[in-house]
Amino acid sequence: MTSPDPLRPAPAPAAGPAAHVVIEELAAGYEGTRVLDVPELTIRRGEFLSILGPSGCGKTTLLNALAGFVRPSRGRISVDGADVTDVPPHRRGLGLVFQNYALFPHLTVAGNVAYGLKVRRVERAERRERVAEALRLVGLEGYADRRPRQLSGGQQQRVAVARALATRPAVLLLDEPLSNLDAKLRREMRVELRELQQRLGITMVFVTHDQEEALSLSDRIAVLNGGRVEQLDTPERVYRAPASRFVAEFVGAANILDGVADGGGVLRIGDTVLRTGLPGPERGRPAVLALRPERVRLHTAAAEPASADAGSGGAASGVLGYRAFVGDAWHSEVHLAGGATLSARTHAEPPPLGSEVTARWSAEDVIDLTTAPAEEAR
Amino acid sequence: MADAPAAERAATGRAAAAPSRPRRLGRRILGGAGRVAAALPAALVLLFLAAPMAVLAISSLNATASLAFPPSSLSLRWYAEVLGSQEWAVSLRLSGLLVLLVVATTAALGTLAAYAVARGDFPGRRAVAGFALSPLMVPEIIIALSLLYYFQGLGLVNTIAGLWLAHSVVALPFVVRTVMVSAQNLDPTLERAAASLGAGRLRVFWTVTLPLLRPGILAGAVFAAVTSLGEVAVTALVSGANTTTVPVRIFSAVQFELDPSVAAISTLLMLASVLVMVVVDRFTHLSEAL
Repeated sequence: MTSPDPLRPAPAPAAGPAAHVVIEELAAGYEGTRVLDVPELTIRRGEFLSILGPSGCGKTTLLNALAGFVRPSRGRISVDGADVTDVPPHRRGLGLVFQNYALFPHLTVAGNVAYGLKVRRVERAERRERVAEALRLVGLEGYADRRPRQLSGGQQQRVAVARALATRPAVLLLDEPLSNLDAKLRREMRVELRELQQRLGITMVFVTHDQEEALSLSDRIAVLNGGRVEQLDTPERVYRAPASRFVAEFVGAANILDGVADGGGVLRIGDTVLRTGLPGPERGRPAVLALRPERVRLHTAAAEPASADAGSGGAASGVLGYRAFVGDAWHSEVHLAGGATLSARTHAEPPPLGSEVTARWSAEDVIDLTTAPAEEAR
Repeated sequence: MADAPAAERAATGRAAAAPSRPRRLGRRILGGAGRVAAALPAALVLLFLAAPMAVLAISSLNATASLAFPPSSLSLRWYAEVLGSQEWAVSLRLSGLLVLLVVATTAALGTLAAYAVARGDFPGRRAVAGFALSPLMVPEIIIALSLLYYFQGLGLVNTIAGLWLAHSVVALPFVVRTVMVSAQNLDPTLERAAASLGAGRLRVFWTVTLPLLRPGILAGAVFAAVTSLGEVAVTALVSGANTTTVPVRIFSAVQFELDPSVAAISTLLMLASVLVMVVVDRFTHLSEAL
């Protein structure tokens, strides 16, 4: 991280020589319905960029457009400054890793890894060396003669990565490569993948619907919704300063406080009234605020902090309606007077169910989305 | 199985902790009887299917010229007669040549057609599929008659080329059918993976698609071979004195001189088929593709 402040906006994209893959005015669709509309997206050299979004958001279409399997209806894609929009997939020289691994079942592990090298007419001796090197990279040296179906899911995924890397592509595209693995393996592969990417300095474009994966792996995340990029920024900024209500809700959990300002930092959501902690918009103006559950503190009436503290920040009172231990924290829900509900994620055990509690938060933890584009304006 | 005691308890209205010994024994006998009752029909069906062929094979060993079953004494004289006969030798060579030609033709055409129909995206795809499979839907004698009229005009009656074409028409749908099944099970991302590694379309087809279609192609080839080897209706009409295949010769032999030599040659063909099936199945998993 060169920036000491993670909240500082990322430098403007398309910054000269760092640009590796450039997408301009790209649109793609099937039978008239537009599934992708990306005016501008620049992927930097050596960057790990995640394309994050729910299913049907167009992320796979975007990846397939990059790989050449989807012909865009409009726009341009260039790699290293060369326009590849009309170049067929096999001439693009990009590596591709698929969700279902797509290993050739009729070839051995070594045969799979060697496939791209054979196509490129690499000499037998060099080929063998590069296959061994690629397998070493993913820790599968001893598996060269196995068949793909004799391997576990994680091993198959490693072979798929080795196969894609053996041809030394400048860009590696990964289509939800971890989603078929179980949770533990997925976390391990995440670390491996990131280490590999940093060791090789390769540009990786990683498509996922898993926000945790995107947050932990990426240099930058492009959050896609309805075929549009809602935000393109560092994981920290995507999490702490979401550009839209959609991003706030999709990346991490969020309490969305959508109401009308009542003046003096008071927000009215239906019949619920709470103090936001912000000076707030003027009375009568609609306001949309987001609050991360882990930023919410819970206090019982008895253990109310000193009034000096109580005066700053936001607060809302209610009854504890739900509590559950989720391993590294407690998850609870506070039913506020007037009907709204507030989620909290606390390290301390929350008070028993039915207790009168006050939820408090600091002013700087409130994310103001009032001016952000609405989620579904279309 | 676990529900059985519970059901029993419900039926008798008695909450027995465990079934008593005689009842357990009784159930075992009943279970055994049930298994026999289930296996018996299967065995009968198998017998029904295999018995004619067994009768034929045994009859071919008859020492006398009668077709009586069971034979009164055994000998291999009919095998010697068939293998020594000039006529049978010509027919065997012709049938062998036809099998090779027909298998090669239908495997190539059928694979391409099936792949195009299963994976292609062009208008009239279903029409092409129906057309390729149509010889299966039309009674064979009608195909035979059409080919006779058609070949008459082209001068192909009583030629090897005519038989090659005729057998290919009859055998093609089997290949199309089996390869279509393989092609539908083929994961398209495998071809995309190959393309992403730099392989052009032809190379992808040759190095990924074709090897993965192999079980279907082999199954279709076996069907085509058996079809060509056993075809009578079409062959009888378009063949002539110079082009008598083995089955047609068997057919006419049965009409005129009913001696066990036809049983001998049929048994030889059957053994050849079984041998081919076993060999092919060893190298691929043919039975899975059928």
